[in-house]
Amino acid sequence: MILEIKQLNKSFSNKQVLHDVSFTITSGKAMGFLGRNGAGKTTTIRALMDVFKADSGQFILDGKPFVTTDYRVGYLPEERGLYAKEKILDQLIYFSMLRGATKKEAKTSAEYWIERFGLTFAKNAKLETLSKGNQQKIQIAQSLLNDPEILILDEPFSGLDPVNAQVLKDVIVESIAKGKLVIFSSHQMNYVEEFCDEIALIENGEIVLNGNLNEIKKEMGNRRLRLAAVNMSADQLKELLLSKITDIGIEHDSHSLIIELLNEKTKHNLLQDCLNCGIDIDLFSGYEPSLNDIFVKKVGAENA
Amino acid sequence: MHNTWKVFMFELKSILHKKSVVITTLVMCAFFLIATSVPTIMTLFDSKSNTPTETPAVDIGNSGFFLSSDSFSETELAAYFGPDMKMFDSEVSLREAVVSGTIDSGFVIQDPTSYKSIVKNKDMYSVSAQMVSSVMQKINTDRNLLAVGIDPAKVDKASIVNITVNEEILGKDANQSFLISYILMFAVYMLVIMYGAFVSTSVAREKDSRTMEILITSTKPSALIVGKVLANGCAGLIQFGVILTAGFIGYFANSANYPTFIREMLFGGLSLDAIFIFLIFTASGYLLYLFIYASLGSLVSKVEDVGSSVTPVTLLFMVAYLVASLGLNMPNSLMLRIGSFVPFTAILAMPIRYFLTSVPLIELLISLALMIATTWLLAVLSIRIYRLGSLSYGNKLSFVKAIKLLLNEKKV
Repeated sequence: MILEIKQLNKSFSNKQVLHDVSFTITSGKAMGFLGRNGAGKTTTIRALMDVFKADSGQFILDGKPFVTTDYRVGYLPEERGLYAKEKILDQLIYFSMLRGATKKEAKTSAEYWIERFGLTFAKNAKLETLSKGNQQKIQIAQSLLNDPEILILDEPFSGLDPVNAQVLKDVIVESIAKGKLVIFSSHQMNYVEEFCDEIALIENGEIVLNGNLNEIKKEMGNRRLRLAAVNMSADQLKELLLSKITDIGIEHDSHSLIIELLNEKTKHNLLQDCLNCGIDIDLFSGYEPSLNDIFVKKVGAENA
Repeated sequence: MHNTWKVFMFELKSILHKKSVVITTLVMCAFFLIATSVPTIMTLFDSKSNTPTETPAVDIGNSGFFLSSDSFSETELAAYFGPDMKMFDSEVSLREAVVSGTIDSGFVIQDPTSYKSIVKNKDMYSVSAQMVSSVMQKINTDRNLLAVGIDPAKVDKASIVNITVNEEILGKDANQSFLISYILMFAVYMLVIMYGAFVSTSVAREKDSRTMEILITSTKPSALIVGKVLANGCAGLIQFGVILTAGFIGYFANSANYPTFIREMLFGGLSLDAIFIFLIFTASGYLLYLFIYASLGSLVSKVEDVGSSVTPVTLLFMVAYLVASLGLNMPNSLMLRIGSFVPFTAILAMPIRYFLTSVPLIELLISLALMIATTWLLAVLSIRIYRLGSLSYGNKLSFVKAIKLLLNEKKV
């Protein structure tokens, strides 16, 4: 399945919050919809889920307009909430049935996810009696009921502890492996980096970066190298390079200097120059930016 | 429709499992069983204290007398007030007895045609003084009759003429249905107020707890609101049905001990058609109000704001109650007639009118058609308001503002 979001625009009280938002989600690939708080992720997802109508734009699934009710869609809203005073099993069965399952199917599905999240002991307990973390797991379980073909998770990692985050990651990876169409939004890059295949980065209601993460990394790492020396600190090394070597740009992170090759400069030239300067090389390798680096570079360090 | 049923079942189960609902129902059932047994309990007490005593001709309760002149003799008064009447030897001692509370009222008989009444606090409905006036008038009349040679006993005999009334009521007797009308009117009032609050709180709680977004992305808003309104409506009818049944069981178990006039006021005028009219108007009016309550509940973001949001509709319903309760005493009044056509007041007014007077069939049909049309319109409107209100978090939306937004949406 291929879901295309095309030219989405939305305004609230005369303030435009989405500007021609377009990107594509392919089933079997993990799509991370990334952006800062307030960038427009939830608005896009709510419009996709038909919570409200967009002012203009289209959602096309496999060439046809996407209607949520035509598919089994699992949705985890950003604003979480379930019935505090109802039994967990009862309310999961209810949500499952509302989405078209028979009572028997609903019970099977609800019990499976309760067990999967290790909450069998609490299936007949009221939601309010559970810890916050366990309540979050029930919220996530709610979105996975009825074996959805399409999974839309708005900030699924928000508020999860590392153990629960791992449980969720496993579920998402498993769903993607089964060929489902999965989109999740996040502002926590480190949580999603390891399993994002595609990303769409939104800032102030506009898509500023979109595509395959590896290709983006490759492109952004192109003509950039990591360099560290045994016999001097990063600052000393930077000073030395700036005074002796031309046609390079220098940045650094906590690991090493990041050298950008300018003009006609090649890796070979740089290595030669370093050796000529008497630098005892500790690290000389290609540079691949992290998702966080990409995010910071695109959105701006002060905003990240 | 299928999902409406699922919402209905989930909500109904949820309400009927609430401890507060179960406990209230049990307490109310117990109360009604006890209250309807009061006449039997009273009979038990009466049978013990029923020792025959000579009752005075005129009972003036706990009163005392002082004769300040010779105009009447103690014997003359005792003939009417009984031999146990309390006599005092001075006005001062009489006054002291009133002040100390030994007696409730004191009478100083000054001359054949005047007396002084002494009470500590005057009640609105005290009849002692009137009794004393009547007795003094009777003694004077008898004296005057004797003075002209007429035997007062003969005059008394001649004055007693019993008139028999053969009443033929072609329509309905308001006396016969008064009590049951009042009971049912009050029951419907409680039903709407209680379950109106339930449904609006239930909608607001879904918004407050942010369950709403999952719900509206899982099924249609119409299924959610119609299912919820019907479930609350049904839960209300079940609860009140159980309580009223307890009341009826209590009544029928003890009916032998009820005075005839109460029995007549309760069930004298009740017929199957009256019950049908009551049920149909109550059901549609009840739904009408529940839809309004539900849509108002969706306009607030927090449960604590529900109270202020539903105030206008609660006031509107109180007007309906006022019209109906005034109409109970004036069943033929223009106010009740008009009230029985306006859908918001007809819920109470039409059954009252039907219980107490004869209502032409055409009027019943017009009123019912108006009521059903309004309920349907409000149901449609409330679905739209619910959809609009369900996601507008933050500031409370007013009903009027919501309607304006809906109209603007239509224009766009």
